[in-house]
Amino acid sequence: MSEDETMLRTVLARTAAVDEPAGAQVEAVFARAGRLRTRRRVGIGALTVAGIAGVSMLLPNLGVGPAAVVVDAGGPVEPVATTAPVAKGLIEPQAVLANLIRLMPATVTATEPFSQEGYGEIVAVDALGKTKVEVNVQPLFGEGGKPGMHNLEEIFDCATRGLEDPGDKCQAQTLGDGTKVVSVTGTTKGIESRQIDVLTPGRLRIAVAVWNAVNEKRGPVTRPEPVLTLEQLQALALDPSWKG
Amino acid sequence: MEELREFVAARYGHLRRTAYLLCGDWHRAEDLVQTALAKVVVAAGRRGIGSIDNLDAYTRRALLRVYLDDSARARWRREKSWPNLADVDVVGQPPPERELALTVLAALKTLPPRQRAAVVLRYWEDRDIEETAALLGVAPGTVKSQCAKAMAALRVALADIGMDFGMVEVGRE
Repeated sequence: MSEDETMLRTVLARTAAVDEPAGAQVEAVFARAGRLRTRRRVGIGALTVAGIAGVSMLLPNLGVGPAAVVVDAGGPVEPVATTAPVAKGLIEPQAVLANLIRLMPATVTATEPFSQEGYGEIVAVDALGKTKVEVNVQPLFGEGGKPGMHNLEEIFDCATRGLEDPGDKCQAQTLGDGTKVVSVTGTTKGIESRQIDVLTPGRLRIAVAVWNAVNEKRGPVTRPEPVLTLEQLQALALDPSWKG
Repeated sequence: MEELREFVAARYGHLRRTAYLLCGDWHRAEDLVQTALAKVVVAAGRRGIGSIDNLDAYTRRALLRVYLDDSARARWRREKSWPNLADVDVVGQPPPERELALTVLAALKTLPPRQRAAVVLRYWEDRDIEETAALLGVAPGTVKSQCAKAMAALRVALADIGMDFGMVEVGRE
């Protein structure tokens, strides 16, 4: 190893020793393992393997009829009590995913579902192509938050949000009830993104994003434009069902 | 189960330091490590701890996958967990070790996630080139070039605060 490489090892070791927390959170690891086992039992995996092309939802709030789920093979999903603690906001993985699918337009089929606590994603497929859709649900945003993070409310101010691309367009507003809404749109390497970030007065953050690609970083583009307009995306993010 | 608990307790600290060098934030590192170890616990519980060949390597791969998957999603979530040297509120002169750490982390931040992972695996985890390449799913030549780029970036970053690799012992003048 060269002298520079040896020095690099030294600086990395010294860096890793600065402000290191004490103790190993062994119980937290096993608690998480328990939740992982529970999520697998409730059939998130079953949604994935059970002929995803056969899963489609009708959107009740567009007046097209009650929601219906068609699962191609795989059988019914049996609910299993989760050991995860109850929190403000709809964050339980299966609930996040089901709600995201419920709020999608009737013209799309939800495929490739994935979720974890406070996060859900699908690939929405329709006649024009595929769109990746993501949602993050974060309760008590910015409170008792993780030390080391900067003032997270700057995210809801276009001047301080830190846009990824200089060409991105950002608009921020505060609704009559105090809810903050930021929209960001842009195109990077031909991939168009639309994002809506909502912070409710109760400090529940819901952030949704769509791209006209399945892989938003590398592409390729799989639809002329994302399947949801900015207005539809905002309606999705502001839906009261995310409050849980 | 006791054997698994001992394994988790014994590996936790080192893995957390690895995760910290990857992501630059202790709390995110805690999250990454707990997620990775939880996956290992589930797999070991299902298959039996003895059935996993080289549990250390398995755990390292789990941490890398969790980190790389999380990095791919972090782009638009805007969680600013990385310290930015320009943004850090400093009263007076920060301790040399913390200044060094912030500089190194800021330099690592400029590297794409896989390149960052290559550097951490090679120079913190002490993995050889072949093992690093296998863990990242790239060619050994790619690991070499990624590490060379990282070295150049760190030289520049340390030079910005009047340090070079030869001065790491003495801090800023």
